[in-house]
Amino acid sequence: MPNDTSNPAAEPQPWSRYKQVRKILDDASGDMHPSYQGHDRFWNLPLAELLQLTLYGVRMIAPATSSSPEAPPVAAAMSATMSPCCHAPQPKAAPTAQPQIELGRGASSGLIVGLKGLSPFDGSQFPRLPWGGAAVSAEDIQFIEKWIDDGCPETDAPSTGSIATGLGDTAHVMALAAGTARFAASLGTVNAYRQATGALKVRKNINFLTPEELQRFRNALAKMKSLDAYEQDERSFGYWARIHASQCQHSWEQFLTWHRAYLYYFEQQLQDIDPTVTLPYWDWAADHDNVIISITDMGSSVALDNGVVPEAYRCWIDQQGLDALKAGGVPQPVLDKLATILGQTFSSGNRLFLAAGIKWGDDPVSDQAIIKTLGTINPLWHYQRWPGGNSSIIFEAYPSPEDVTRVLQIENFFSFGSGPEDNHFFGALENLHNLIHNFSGGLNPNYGASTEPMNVNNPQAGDMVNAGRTAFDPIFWAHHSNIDRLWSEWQKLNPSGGPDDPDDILSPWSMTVADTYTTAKLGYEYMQSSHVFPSSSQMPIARFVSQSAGVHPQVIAAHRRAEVRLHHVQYSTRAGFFIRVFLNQPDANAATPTTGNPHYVGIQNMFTGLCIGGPGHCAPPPTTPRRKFDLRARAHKTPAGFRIDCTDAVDRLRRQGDTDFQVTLVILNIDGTVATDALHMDGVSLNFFD
Amino acid sequence: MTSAPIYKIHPAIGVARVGNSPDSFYLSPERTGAPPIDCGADGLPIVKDGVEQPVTRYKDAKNRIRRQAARFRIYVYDDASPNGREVKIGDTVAATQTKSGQVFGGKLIDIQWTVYLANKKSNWYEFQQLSGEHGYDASHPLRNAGITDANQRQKLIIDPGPRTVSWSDKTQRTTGFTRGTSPGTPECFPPDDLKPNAIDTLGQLTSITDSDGKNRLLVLGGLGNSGSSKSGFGEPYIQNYANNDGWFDDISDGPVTASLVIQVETIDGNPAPPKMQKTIPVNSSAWVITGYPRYAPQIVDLITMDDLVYDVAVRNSNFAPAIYSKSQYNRDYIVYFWRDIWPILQRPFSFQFVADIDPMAGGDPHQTGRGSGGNFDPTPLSIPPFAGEDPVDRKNRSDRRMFLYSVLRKAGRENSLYAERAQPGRIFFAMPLLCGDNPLSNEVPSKFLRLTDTMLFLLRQWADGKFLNEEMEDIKPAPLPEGVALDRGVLGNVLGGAFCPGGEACWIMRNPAIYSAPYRINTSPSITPGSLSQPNVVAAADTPANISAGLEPGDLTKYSAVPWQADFNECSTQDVDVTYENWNLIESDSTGDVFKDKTWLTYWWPAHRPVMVNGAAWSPTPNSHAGDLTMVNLWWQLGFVVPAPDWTAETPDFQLSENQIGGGK
Repeated sequence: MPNDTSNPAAEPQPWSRYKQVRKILDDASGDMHPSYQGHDRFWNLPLAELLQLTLYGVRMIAPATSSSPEAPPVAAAMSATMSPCCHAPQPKAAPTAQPQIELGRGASSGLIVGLKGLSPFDGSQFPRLPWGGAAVSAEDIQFIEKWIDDGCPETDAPSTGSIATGLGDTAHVMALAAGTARFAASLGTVNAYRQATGALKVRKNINFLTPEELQRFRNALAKMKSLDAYEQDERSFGYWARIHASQCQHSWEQFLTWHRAYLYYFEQQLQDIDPTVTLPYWDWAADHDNVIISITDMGSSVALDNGVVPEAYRCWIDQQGLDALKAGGVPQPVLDKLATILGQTFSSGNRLFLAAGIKWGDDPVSDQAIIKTLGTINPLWHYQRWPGGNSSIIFEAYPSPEDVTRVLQIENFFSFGSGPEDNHFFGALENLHNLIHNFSGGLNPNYGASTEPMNVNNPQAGDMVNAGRTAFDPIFWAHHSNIDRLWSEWQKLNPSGGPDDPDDILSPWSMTVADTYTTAKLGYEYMQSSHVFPSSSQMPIARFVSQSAGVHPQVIAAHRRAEVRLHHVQYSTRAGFFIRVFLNQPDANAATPTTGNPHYVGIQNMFTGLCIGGPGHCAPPPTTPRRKFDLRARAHKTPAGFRIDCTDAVDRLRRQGDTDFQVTLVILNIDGTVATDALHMDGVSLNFFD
Repeated sequence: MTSAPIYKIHPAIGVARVGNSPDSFYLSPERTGAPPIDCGADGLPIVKDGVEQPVTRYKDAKNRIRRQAARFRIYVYDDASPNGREVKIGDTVAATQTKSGQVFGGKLIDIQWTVYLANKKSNWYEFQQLSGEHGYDASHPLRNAGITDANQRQKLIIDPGPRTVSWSDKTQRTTGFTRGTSPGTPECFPPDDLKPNAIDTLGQLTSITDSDGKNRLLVLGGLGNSGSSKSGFGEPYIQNYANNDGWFDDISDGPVTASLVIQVETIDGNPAPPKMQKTIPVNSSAWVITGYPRYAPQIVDLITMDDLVYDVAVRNSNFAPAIYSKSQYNRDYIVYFWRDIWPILQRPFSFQFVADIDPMAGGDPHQTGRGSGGNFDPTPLSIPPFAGEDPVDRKNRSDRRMFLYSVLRKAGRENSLYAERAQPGRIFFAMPLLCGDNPLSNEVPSKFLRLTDTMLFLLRQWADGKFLNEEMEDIKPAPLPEGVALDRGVLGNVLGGAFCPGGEACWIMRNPAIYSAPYRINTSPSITPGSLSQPNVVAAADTPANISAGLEPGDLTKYSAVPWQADFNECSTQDVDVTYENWNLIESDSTGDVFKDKTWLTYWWPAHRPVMVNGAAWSPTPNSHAGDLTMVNLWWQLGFVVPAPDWTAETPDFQLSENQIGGGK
């Protein structure tokens, strides 16, 4: 059928009843192509021809019946007015009370009679339709019959309930498939989508976690911390912190690999609690300017606790916390002081106390209560953390993005990632890593004359400073997530670079060094932020138009790379097709120009083809997990994804003033017409990388 | 409400064939054009890989023609098998006793088969072509007219009485319709000194059970013995192709009935008394005809007896309502080319192997080969009009079909040699160019053969383009139910025309009154051994012949020639007088009209009576009474026309085999 591509409204609906009827008949025919008196599969003829078609004298679609009763015969009418010729006029015969079983248009159509195997398609003249093919189910016959009864509409919605997409009612689903309605961004967590679609999970930049993602992360950590009384319980937060104390590897080539394994196993614990939780990373280099500003603002007289950490790791007091403190017996004056800083965030507990005007140490019980409450409000905050230090040291040593870029440009693991066993030393990345530990832990300004440097309640230094205590600070994980991310970035630039001894075991686990080389095998990847537009593979999409993603302005400003992904594109048993990707051009269609179009991102090519196997041969594999002993290779028609780099397009559009982004896909046949039955996928995402 | 099962014998009409081998025989073919089925002396078919093997040698080790046995089976039609399945001894059956209406259920422990063969030829009216088909007038002569006493005439019927076989008692498994073996019923055989051959048996019955437990009946016919009871100078001699007083042959026919012996467990569903046995007759009985040998077993007659009986059933018994109902053919019926048309159109091709159709044009005047481009090339003929067809091609194909149809002889044109208006300006012989039912006498002349009404209807639908090619449409026509396939397949090897008097049976087969159901002969319920019916004119006959009362043993074959060898010999070719349409015999010497006698030498039915094989006469006997007499003892020396080694279904080829004439092998 010719597609009027210049008018999107005229493009055929991909999922009309008419198309479903044809699909039912095509499927039942299988591979058979009887001649049908030269028409081949006559249901695929233009609809106007099909409505008039006779097959060996049998009309396939009955003509439309009029609902008005039959006109009385002419002779009777005449005899009523003219004088009788040979005999007296007969009284008009009363209509006979014969009950007439009137067949509807569908039931009297040869196609339906043939599908049902009724005479003459009962073998007495012809076999049942489709010839040579499988019988059509009773429900499908009823569906086709109803379609005929309704006048054989060419474009209309299929019956409700036939598409279970979870995307809304069928009218909306059809609009989505045609591109006249927009796909909404998922409001759930990115990793929930990844989990549902069996994809790698994302470790996001901590600054761009959605409120839900952040809350889930906090809840999971709080759950782990709740078991800290049980030192041997491997589900407890403290258990994992102690592993670092005893087993961590630093200053040689196992630094990066050991910490990757460490983070992996810790993350698995978190996912036992909530499978959508991953370890977000702290891009401390991006915070460079903030740190400098913070230290500068506080003045050179402040030598400690003058730096900043990401908002997510800060502390604050909220009304609920105040209520809890009040119930816990904290004196009212303290509460009043706390009330003055309600909602303000502070990079350290010390600064919160100072801001509130509470003197640390005056009321240790109250202090502890406050600290406990602050920890409950934000499990990511850690009391023993005083980020900052001497300004000139920090200014000199705190890594800037350029420092990181320079480190990533080192081309050998020897210098980048620390040396091997018999020639070991700190590598460049580890050097940066060390600084952040010192920076984020800092020294305790309240240590004063204490002589107990290891007093947990009042240590000399922040936990991040002490290798034996560092993993007790939740920011440890964000820091090392970033280190791990930088190593994975370096791995992309230097695929063959790595430690000298890949077979070494990373104790206390059974992983070898080589086992940690690919984050994909460990189930994650890094992204600054990700916006998912879920679709449903049940419905073929002709044009995909998303709503705006709601990208954080900072992400738009400060990302290094952007990528559109198509998730789980299914093998379609039809000729190959193309996917054109546009940003911020929701009315893009087959005629939209690509050359010179700043919105155009690129084209993806899909290699498919008709199925030559038995029924189901080219269907996507079932989504249920594989049987335990099914060791076979990847299923043949496993849906695959596309990654389309759109960094340049985002850049162009940002420069011309766009402040948010939406994705439009136009699916095209080889002949350039819109392909309405080609693209089946799980969804589209727009992803940004630091 | 489930209905009680119905039991029927299939095939409805079985065919046995005479042979002079006393002990070697084979089984009747069960598909049109298929060879007969080989079997051992015990009657069990030779089976290889589950497939019954065809006969390769038609004569025994002493070059005597093996007889053909008709094989009958019992099918049950019930809710589980609406299209019928064969019963086995040991099956659980439920049969209805007609007189009480009770249904007796239980285990089938035995089947009793009863057959009654008889030969009424010598007792019946003379065969005089078509006279008598619609009633014999009072002056129609009888055979052996000199014998007038009814009781004496009764003895002109070879009547051995009925015989019964069953399986469970080993001593009851086989019996013969042989002189002196009647179990108490009156028997009558011709005088034991017939010349040249005595007749002491009409055949044999055997009950056999194969390894699957399926019990079947085998009926063997006579030994091909024909002889005359007359003595005196010149006897025996033949004086007529169909009627020879004093002569007898051992052809026969008669009803085949069966009864189920049931170890009763339930009566109408209720438990039965212990140790109860019931013998219940099956609902539909069958018939057996003995014919003479089928010398060209795989060459199909132009009109088969199946075509004929099918036509009768279609037009009288609503056998195919899609084709014919409410007394008319359905002009919207779509025929299938390969199922309905090609089997007819391909028949003429093989006639070149048993006749010399056109010495000038060569062996295959019809050019039926595929791709030959000839008139009968199925490639263009099999393409129906279709959408998107080149109009020129459509016209060409339609013209081809219409041409073939137009040369066919239509109803009412039996006396015309030529086809009407086949093509402007050209004259064509009407087809088939074979003799009709009466090219001999002036009473009801019917010089040439025409296809049945149903065959003509199907071909007309095809010519009009109302057909489909099932290969192009991926349609596999549903196979016939087994029972129906047997009924039709057996008769597909029997001659269906012309009847002068024909092959195995005569024009009586096209009388709808003899059938009780499609393909089922209406059996008389009151057959009395020793008092089989005689022609009505015989005063004081015990039983006057009356078709509406049902048929008796001998009633199908009595119309055929006696001895069969006489007609068989003469039905090679015929000089048909075609001077005038309404006359076969013209007194060309009379004064008056000046005219020139025109004749056309026409074949009878070469597939049943080969004439020329491989360029030589198949039988050396001349077409005369003397030749007829020779045929009485020569028939078993004639060779069989069998597929040549290079035979294929698409390019058939035949050769002569087992020929003893002139000392051949």
